[in-house]
Amino acid sequence: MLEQQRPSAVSRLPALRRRSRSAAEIRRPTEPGPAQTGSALTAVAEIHPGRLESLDRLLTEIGDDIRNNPHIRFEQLTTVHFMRWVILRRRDGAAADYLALETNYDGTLDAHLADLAQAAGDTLHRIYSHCSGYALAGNRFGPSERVALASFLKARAVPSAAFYVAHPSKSARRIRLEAEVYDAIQAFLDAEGERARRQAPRVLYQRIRDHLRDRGLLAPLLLPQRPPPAREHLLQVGLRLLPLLAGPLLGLPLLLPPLLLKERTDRQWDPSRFDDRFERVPALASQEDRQVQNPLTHLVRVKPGPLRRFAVARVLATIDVLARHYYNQGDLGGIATIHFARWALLDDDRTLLFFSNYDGSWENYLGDFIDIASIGLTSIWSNTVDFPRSFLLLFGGARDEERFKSWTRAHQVYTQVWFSAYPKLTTRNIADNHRVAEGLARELTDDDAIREWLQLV
Amino acid sequence: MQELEYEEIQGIILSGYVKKRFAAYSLLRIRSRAGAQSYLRWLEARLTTGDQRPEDVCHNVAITATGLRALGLGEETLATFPRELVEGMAGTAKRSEILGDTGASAPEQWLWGGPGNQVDVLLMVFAHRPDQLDHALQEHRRRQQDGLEEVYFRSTEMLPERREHFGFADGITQPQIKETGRHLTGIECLRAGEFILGYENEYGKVPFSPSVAEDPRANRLLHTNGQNGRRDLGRNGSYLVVRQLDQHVAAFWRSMLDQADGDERLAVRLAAKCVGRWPGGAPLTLSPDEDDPSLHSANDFLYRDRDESGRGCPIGAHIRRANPRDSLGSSAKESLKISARHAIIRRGRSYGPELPRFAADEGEEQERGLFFICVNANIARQFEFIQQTWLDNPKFGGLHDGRDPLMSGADDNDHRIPGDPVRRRLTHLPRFTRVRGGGYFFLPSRAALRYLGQQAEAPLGADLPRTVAAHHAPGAQ
Ligand code: HEM
Repeated sequence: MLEQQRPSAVSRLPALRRRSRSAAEIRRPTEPGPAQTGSALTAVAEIHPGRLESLDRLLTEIGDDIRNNPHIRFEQLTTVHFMRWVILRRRDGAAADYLALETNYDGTLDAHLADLAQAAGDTLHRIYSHCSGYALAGNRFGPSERVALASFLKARAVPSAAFYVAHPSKSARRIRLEAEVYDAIQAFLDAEGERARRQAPRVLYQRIRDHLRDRGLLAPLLLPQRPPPAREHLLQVGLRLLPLLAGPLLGLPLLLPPLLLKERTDRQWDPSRFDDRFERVPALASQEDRQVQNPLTHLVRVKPGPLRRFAVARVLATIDVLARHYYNQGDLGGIATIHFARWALLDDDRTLLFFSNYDGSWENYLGDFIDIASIGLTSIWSNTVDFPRSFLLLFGGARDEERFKSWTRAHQVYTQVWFSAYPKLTTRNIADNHRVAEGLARELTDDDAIREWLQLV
Repeated sequence: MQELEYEEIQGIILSGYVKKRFAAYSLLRIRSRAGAQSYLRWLEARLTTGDQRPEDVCHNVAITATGLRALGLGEETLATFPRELVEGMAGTAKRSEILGDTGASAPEQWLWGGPGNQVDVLLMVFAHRPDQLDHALQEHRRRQQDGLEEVYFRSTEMLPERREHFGFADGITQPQIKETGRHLTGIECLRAGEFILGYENEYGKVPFSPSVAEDPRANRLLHTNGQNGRRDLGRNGSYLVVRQLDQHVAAFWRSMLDQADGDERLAVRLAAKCVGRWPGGAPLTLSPDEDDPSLHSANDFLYRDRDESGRGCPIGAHIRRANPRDSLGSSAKESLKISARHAIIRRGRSYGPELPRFAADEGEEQERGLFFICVNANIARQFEFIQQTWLDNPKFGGLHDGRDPLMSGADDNDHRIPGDPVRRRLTHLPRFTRVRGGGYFFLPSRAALRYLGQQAEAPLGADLPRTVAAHHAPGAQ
């Protein structure tokens, strides 16, 4: 469905600081947003033996200077929220050396792949010529290569075992637009100073609206958007889960004894064995906290045996249902700092891969795991090797704070390339900007509503 | 609940010695292991621990990773300490970045603890009168002669009414240790393991503790650590974070006055909106419109019900960032749990002469500020977390842009003050503090201090061990 592809116009990053760039420079959407937003692509390709080092070098060149590297102008991508390339090494628990691609995109998959090819076809071509099965020779990247690259990636696409999006109905473009609107309001209010605070709320509201209209920011806000998904009633969610969980629950008398036994005897992580932490952890930390958001890539073997493979797949399927139908309002089990997260099972469900794009520091993220969502996370990762000891699949585990953090670091993988289309926004900012935009797209008339809206800016 | 082993625990964990208005901090470098060890043995006999109520002078001591190494701990032992301690506060570019120690606050510019002026030992002495302090220090210096050299010295005298230099009452809020049985006032009562190694913490776990291999000396002085046949060096000890923060008092008030268009009353109000308390100490959440002397030490308050939007105490104010209480996320209960897991005991004191509010410039004697000290059992989860994730985070609590207005690590800061009909925003705030020195220290128990004073894992000078820092990658490329 390539005809759905929107013009790959330069949709540049919005001027996030009030002083940085004039509004006229930024191309605004003139058409409704895409019919799909926030989808996931994971493509895992085996790296050609012997080409690992060269690939690592290329990716490092890109990743070390994400905004200005000579290979990819990421900001030309119109369909992308977040994307990463990461090398999954055999020594980190993968069955072979793999190159994994993660994208979170708007529109159809075809349009998204066309967008990638358009913005960075030559570089994608170079990157994937390091991978087995990528048959294209030569350096030229023409139309036929474009088609071949797309089918190469599609053939290596791995489904998400569970996928979470903070704001499922928002396109990246809309997110940037609403941030620009918020910043324009701040600049306006700062310039107004004391005057703004002496005005009647209704007058002030109108003046803000007029100001935005003059700057061409009001019209694009009026374009229709996908409606946000509703949170389903727990009963409804329960019905969806029934087919997944009925079997395991009925089989509980059979499953429970071996599980309890394994939970008592499985080896757990011993932090004092994390010998190379003085090298590994600083290297991982070096790529964190460069901006508001951070990437986490985590790779770990599922514990041996059919019981654990079965458990991890069922738990993830459950979490996927919850994420789609219940945790679709900006938090995943209470954690409100994740933009996009996914789990994927590789190597016949023997390896669990986790990608997350989150706000704030690693300590904060892991702290949330432990303080808020330890049950959900324990139910997943207690099925993987060396996880801190759990009880009944749900309890203990991640609550063992220092051991859990050490285990997480030990299985964390360096993310070679990581791009965010809105690097200065938290999920909370996006949600708040959305509320501000709503109060502009629909003209407010009620005094109380106007007062309330003014507190948002 | 475990009983605290008071006679083993250094007093500074349990008390700020606030009746002793005079304090001195001496930052030392070890010149000879034998000399330093003999000094530590002498000091151990004078060490103030939790079981004592010294009348006149209190002594406490803490040691950095380089100090531990100089005292003969091998790399294998060092590796059982937390990475933060081993790398040191100024050890990697990444750490400096996350702590905001850049520009004028970069370690290269520090008076102590930076690359050119490494420190190994921190001696803290507290007294009622300056002559007692001087007398004690003279004795210390005599004993240090053979093994230690002073890198930096700072004496302090408490300001009237325990204010800090910007003029706000300080030292009001402090978490209490549950196991002491004192002051059980609810929200700020935390398990001992948050502040002392060897006890259960707020996760119901005993924190990881550094350990040494068994040998006769270790076996005599230290408990087993209950696993893998090692001896527990950390038990009853803790970690101390020290940062010397110069405060630009005149610049702070000039900035407030500018933002208030010259209105002094408004300037004080705006400054209070930066702190979250009035100069007298009353919390803005309880008394949003004016200082209320009767609330000068009020601490029994929460944000969510009374002040969710920050109309009283702005979300970005210092005390709300430093301890968000029940205001984070979507549930008060979870927020209180999170706040409890990122708490510190503050033991800092102000140094330098007072400067009146609205002074024209910083005066002749430029150096004044806060000798910030805090106690925590987990530097990454407590001090660094508060500093990075709460105080110096432009996105704290749902904000769009704005770090701690008092001690942000970046220039050009903003501070949002909710109001009617619309917010006010303080813009282009410069840094009002400058980091002048700092370090991460191990605060040993009495037994650990004894071990460090006596132990001889290797003969002096024989194995000056290769440094951990040399063989692990720097934090940021
Ligand atoms: C020069 C720098 C600083 C100044 C002037 C300053 C000033 C203050 C003042 C006036 C208070 C209110 C009084 C009280 O509650 O005791 C306070 C509270 C507090 N400060 Fe600071 N502070 C500074 C640096 C720091 C740093 C670096 C940290 C931690 C990393 C910190 C953590 C705290 C905490 C935890 C509280 C108690 C908040 C509460 O529980 O309500 N402060 N500070």
